[in-house]
Amino acid sequence: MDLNFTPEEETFRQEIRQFIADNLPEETRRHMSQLRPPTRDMVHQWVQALASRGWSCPRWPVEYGGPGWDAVRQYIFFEEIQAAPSPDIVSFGTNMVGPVIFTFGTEAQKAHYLPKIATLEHWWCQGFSEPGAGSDLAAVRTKAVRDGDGWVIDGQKTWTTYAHRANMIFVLARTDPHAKKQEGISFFLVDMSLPGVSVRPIQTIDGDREINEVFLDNVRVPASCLVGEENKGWDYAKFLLGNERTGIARVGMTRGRLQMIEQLAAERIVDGRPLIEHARFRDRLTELQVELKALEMTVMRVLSAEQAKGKPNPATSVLKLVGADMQQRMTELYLQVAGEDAVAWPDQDGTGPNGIMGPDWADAAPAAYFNMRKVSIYGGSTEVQKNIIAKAILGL
Amino acid sequence: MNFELSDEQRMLKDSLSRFLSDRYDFKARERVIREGGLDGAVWRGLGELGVFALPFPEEDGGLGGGPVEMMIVAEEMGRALVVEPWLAAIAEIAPLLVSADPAIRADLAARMADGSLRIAFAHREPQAEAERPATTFADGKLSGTKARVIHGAMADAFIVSASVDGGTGLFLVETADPGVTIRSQPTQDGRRMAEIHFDGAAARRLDQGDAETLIANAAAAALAATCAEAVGAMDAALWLTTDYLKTREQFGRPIGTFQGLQHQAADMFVALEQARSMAMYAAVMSERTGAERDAALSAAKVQINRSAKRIGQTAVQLHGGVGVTMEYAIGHYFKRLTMIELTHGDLDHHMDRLARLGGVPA
Ligand SMILES: Cc1cc2nc3c(=O)[nH]c(=O)nc-3n(C[C@H](O)[C@H](O)[C@H](O)COP(=O)(O)OP(=O)(O)OC[C@H]3O[C@@H](n4cnc5c(N)ncnc54)[C@H](O)[C@@H]3O)c2cc1C
Repeated sequence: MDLNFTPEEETFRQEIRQFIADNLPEETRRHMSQLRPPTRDMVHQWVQALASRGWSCPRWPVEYGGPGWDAVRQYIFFEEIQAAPSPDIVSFGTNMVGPVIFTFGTEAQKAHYLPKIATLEHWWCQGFSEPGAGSDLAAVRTKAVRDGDGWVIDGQKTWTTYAHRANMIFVLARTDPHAKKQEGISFFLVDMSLPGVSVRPIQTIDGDREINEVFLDNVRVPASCLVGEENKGWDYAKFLLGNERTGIARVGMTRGRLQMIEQLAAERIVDGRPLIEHARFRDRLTELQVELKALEMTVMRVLSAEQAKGKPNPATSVLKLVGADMQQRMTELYLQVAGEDAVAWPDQDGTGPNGIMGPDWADAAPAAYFNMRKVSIYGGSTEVQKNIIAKAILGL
Repeated sequence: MNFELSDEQRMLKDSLSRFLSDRYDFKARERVIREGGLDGAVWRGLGELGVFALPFPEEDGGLGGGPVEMMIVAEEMGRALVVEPWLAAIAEIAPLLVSADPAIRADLAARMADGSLRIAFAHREPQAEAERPATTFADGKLSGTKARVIHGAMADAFIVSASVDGGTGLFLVETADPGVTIRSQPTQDGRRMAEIHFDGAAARRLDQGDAETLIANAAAAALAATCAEAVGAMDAALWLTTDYLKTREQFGRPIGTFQGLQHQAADMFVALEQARSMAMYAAVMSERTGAERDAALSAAKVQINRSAKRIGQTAVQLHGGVGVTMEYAIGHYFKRLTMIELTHGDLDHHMDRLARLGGVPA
């Protein structure tokens, strides 16, 4: 047993850190460290910087324009850029649809789509969930019907993250209404500028606009938009969902933000003393740090087991559900540091963030707390992860 | 022991509950918030139901209600997520007036009781935690800055705490006074609060040198009522969630048939009942004095905060994506409950106070 990274891996980590120091604008870093959602421009600038170094698609093999890193290097990379903290790269393109295209797509699709993902010329969003198909994703009702040499797609998607920033959407649609639930679904790549695509924003309880409804109203797409085989879309969707594994714990992101919270708590005076000196707060912080260390070790164990066996491990459900819990409890601490300054709602009426009072991060704390409720809901809810552990691992 | 409501108390509960379910559904509330946080017709209606007259003694033209009546009102307000400042503008004000000159007090009480006068308590300051207010009173004039004054911009007058002659006093200041400047801001839970600047505003003293006691009484009344309001909100959040579990289908059946979700709903119910008990305890104990009262109220707030967090977070979780949108009621309950957790002292504040006061009263 050796719990250390190799010297080469440590050198690699330094290289990433140096890149971040040279390329991540201070304004973006500050904004992200307060747990604010990145602006479109921040994402764009950062992805361009990564792309010019060949790092914007960190999970891709060299032949498709990626850096060809092994799983450990990918892990180190994500941990460092999350801890920086930088804006998330647009994972719908790089981690989700990209690998589907290079694994199941035609040569023409690879040549057309992959380079555009790397530069963010194509900004992808994920059109899986529907009003009636959430945890039960295979219940999608959006349908695609053959029409001459193409398809007509009709239906509604929902909860679509950043659909208003995207220009491409990958869609699960039913192509065989008579087949068993999972067997009649196909996977389409849809240009959002096509007639019939419209996007309606959904405001979330943090006050932000992050998610949307996407309406596909008889959208006509060419045959070249179908990925792989007709009616095999469920397999590609499973592949896609299984791809985001060890990254899902987001250890680096939680660690980085906990450090920030610790600093803020040292500056915050509560009942005459810095909050960090209050035993109860300190305990909560320490408990989180302990659990985060355990999670980090678990991530590494899952990673090395996957490297050795070459196949996904159902224990990744542990990573998802513990990672979600850590992120949420981290924002609970953030909220506690903000205290009553969190009551202000910076939206509306032109007073701007903290029009009245409080430090410049105070409005970001409740927003982060409210926003992070999502992480135990999406990407396979905590309940669904527990079902998987109970069935697939424990045999219950 | 008797936990039953009297006939009169039951009537109060039923009439308020009916009024709010007729007039204050989610859509109506959304409109109120968009339009500034106070619906004139709702406000008048609450006045007609006697809600505002409750906290005032009969000799001042009030209904002489006690903490149990306030609890009943607060719970209904919480259930409907009412944003109108009935607590901050009326109920919290009444205890501040008890030692005021009888003529002034009767006049204010009469106008507050019918809803025509709203007073805000301008007490907290940007640099909180000082022993005496930084706001000062001298020669009939008051100067200083008050922060987080709930509904400050909708008030006709303020009661302001200020330092005077080495002690604290309570002063009445008209909003229209040229020495008053108000900056208003929305809150996370659909209310409005204000920062208020007093610059030599004309002020009239209300207390008889007992301001600190009055302020503590008002804080106790407000805390007890807030505990009850939280129970109303938690109760509504639980039933909204169970309705959702019965109607939302995934995997071909209602999600409420999944035992993992049933157990979480049952946990919410347990948390609710524990909170309800402590809100009653808070109401009854809020009439006591000194350390016993404060310790009891802290114990109540600790339980309320624990339950509010459990119920708020679980309610959102069981709603899935729907839970995190502003378009459904449940997220608004979560937001209100979260703000209740943060105000009137957070969990750690009350745990510390309990420890200081020697623990939960026997
Ligand atoms: C902020 C946010 C962003 C999102 N972004 C995207 C996106 O970009 N693209 C996209 O396609 N989707 C996206 N989603 C959708 C997300 O994947 C779904 O919300 C998720 O699949 C849950 O579905 P649902 O919301 O319909 O909840 P439901 O599936 O209705 O679940 C409701 C509750 O029931 C529980 N439950 C369901 N089934 C079971 C079961 N078998 N056993 C026990 N409990 C169960 C759930 O855990 C949950 O608590 C996003 C969601 C959110 C909140």
